[in-house]
Amino acid sequence: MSHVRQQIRERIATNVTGLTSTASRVFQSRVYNLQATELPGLLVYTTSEQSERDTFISTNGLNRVVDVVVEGYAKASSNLDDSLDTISAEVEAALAADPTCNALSKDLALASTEIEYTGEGDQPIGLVRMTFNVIYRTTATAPTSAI
Amino acid sequence: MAGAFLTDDLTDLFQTDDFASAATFSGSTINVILDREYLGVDVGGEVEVESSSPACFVATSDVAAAVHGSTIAIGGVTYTVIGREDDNTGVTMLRLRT
Repeated sequence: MSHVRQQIRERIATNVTGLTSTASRVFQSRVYNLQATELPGLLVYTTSEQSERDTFISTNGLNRVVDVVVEGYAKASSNLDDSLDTISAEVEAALAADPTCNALSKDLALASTEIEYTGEGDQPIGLVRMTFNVIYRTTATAPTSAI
Repeated sequence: MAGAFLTDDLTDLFQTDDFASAATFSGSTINVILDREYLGVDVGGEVEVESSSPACFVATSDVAAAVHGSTIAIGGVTYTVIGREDDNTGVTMLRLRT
């Protein structure tokens, strides 16, 4: 059984697969450059997590908040800002429709959005970086099972 | 104004039987040297995006009217000018996008 964090990341990647703008161009924890044919596309990462003990009496429970980052990339000679906002709308709606990540988490919420543009390259390229806080619980001894 | 010793050789430099290609700019055929060097574009995310940095070198006198937004067709591809850099010795580099 995999860590619940992995299960959440995979569930989120599944939930954003097949969206109108980005279709099946969804990649988890990608470290290699994107090709032009993979745009517009989404990258999904779990970048950090905070956790704390449930109570002082029961030290086995852990409340966790994992940051799931969804990056949307697009390339266009015009209306790039609109394309990024459309990607953002599609991702937000898809994830809000399953805030428990198929019963893995207690809640999921968009925490921040950043947008970047560059004129480098043969066409303008843009990025929308959405960070979602996903709250879930495990025991300290069984991080592979959501409770 | 560049001295004649700088501009005299431009015709040879832009011969199409060497490194130059024929291009269409503003209804005229001119010769340019096209460069499409690979560029990994860092947008600020986790990875870069593979792209290129198209630019062409051309005799300044051939593109006196070129400004941002002008178009130039090279090898069947129409590029839009996004930057103009005159070296003030008779050669201009046009930065392009598709």
